[in-house]
Amino acid sequence: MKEPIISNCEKAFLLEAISESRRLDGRGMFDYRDLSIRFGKDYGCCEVSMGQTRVLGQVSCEIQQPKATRPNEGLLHINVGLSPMGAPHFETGRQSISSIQLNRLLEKCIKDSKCIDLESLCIVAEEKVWCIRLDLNILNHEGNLIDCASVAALAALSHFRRPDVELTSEGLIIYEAAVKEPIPLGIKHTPICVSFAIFNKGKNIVVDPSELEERVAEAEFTLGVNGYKELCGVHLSGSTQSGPTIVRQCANKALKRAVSVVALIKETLAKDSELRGSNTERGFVECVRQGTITSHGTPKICLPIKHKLPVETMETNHEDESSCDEVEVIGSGTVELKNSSVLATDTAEQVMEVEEKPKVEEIALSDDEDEVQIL
Amino acid sequence: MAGLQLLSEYGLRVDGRRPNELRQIRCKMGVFSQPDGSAYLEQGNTKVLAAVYGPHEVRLNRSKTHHDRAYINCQFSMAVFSTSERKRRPRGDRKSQEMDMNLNQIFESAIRTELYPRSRIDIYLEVLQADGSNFSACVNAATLALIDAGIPLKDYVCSCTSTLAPSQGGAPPTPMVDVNHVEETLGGPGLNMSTLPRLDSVVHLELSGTRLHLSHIDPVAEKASTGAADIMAVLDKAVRGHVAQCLHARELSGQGADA
Repeated sequence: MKEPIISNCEKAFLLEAISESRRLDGRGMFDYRDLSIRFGKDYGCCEVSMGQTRVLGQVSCEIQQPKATRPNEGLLHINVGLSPMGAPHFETGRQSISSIQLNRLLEKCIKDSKCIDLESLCIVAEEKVWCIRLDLNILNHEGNLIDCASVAALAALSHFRRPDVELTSEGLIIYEAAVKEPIPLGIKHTPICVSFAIFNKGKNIVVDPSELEERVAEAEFTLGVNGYKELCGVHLSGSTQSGPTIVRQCANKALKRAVSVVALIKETLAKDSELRGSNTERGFVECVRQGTITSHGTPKICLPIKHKLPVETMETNHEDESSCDEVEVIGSGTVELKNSSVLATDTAEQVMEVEEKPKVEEIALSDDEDEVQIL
Repeated sequence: MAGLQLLSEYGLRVDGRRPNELRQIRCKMGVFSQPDGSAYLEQGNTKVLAAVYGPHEVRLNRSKTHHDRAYINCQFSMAVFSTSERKRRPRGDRKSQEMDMNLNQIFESAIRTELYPRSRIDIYLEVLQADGSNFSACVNAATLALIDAGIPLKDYVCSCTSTLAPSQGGAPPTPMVDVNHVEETLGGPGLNMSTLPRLDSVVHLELSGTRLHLSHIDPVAEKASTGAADIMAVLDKAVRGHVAQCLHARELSGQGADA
């Protein structure tokens, strides 16, 4: 399936909003979406969500022969799978541009920057080494896949434990988890990718872009930063002006973000090890209970409209206006309120109805939920 | 190579250059008769060939046509004899796909694609000898080939690499422009920047090699940016020389001076 086309008016609307420093989902220009990390039952399984973007990471290991050129180093394979589950235009074959970009950027950030100590994975030089496989699956694509995937990768690798081995005269013994405690991987530094979307010839930079913002942006800039203020990977696609200035601006923000994300990962890891120790239920149970693991909540769009347009047809019910603190005008179109206790719709022909709904998390919107028509 | 310093105490690099010196660039346009545009570029010992076909009709993959602009297809390939060891390179692997994708994005930003809706422009690049900055040399060669083909560009696309020599004897690390193979493999970060110099626009930025500390990103990026601007001067001179030569040849053969 092809990627759905963005209409010109949608693009223009978004660009106009960004030039006024407003984002469609109400965030500030430098606000990130909520980041949550959940670990599964097995070591090395983790699910990360940034707003609605969800990525599942799983680390596994096996014993293999090392590469001929590096006989005493372990192997690390990173694979990002874009399945049609994440977005309808993803194909299972690995040929698409976004999958290559994701894969290569993560490889650069994690493999090429030597984030994992591969020499400690060697068992018998030139014969047996541990081969670590990191598989990331994109569960839902709502923008900023690279950030989410990098957090999932780092969290999964930090969480993973490999079995303990011993080389005896009889051969290699691999101990089960119950017999000998598994060993975590040696992580030398913690690279995190932070993405920025650039609009208006470099004048407006937006952090953690949503899917629409990504597609409309003139350039997307990703920085891989670690806790020691080092850049592990840089990637700019698209075209923007005054490159070095942008790099400087973004680098500082990226560093702050990387530090806070790494702190969150460490915190969640500590909590998880506590839970494991205390034998309570752990894993994805929490997400399933809340019903959030598969639900796709439509973000509510709240736009303060400054100019009052003449109301064409009927009298508006003043009772709703008092509850909507921000939205003023109802010309003819659909408006949705932020505190959704009242849903107001207004069409030119029908008599205005006010529906009172109890506090719901998702409201069925009309098809053009992304567009607010103001006539 | 133990003991090989990237920057000697006299301030000279392994090939005798100063840190802000580019390698010698030699280029020739119109080397092939079949493609609409072609160019051969040498940047020091890195030798690259570029061929451009287009704009032409999209035949096989109708689904790839855009209704409002041209579809750019770049193919990057390194000849098996290009490196010191003969290496058979599989065409469809991830690294070469990534190069193709980067080139596509660069030229989509640089070519005025809105002038050729529903058409296709193919750019083929072949590295004959790889001595560092292969990607940059390819971008520069492709620019020349596009100009030779007469495809309108927003500006010259110039690409340059820069790296950071480790600090010696207490001095701050020095940024160096236009890395060669030895500097690339010995370690150290390599920043690859492609710009449209006159429009002051950056179309591609990539960091490879080892990690680079944030405090050093500024000088390294500035170095690459000025390197690209210098390369533009060289390319511009070459293009003007080539055009003058063509006009001269036309006059001699009596076809008149009109383009």
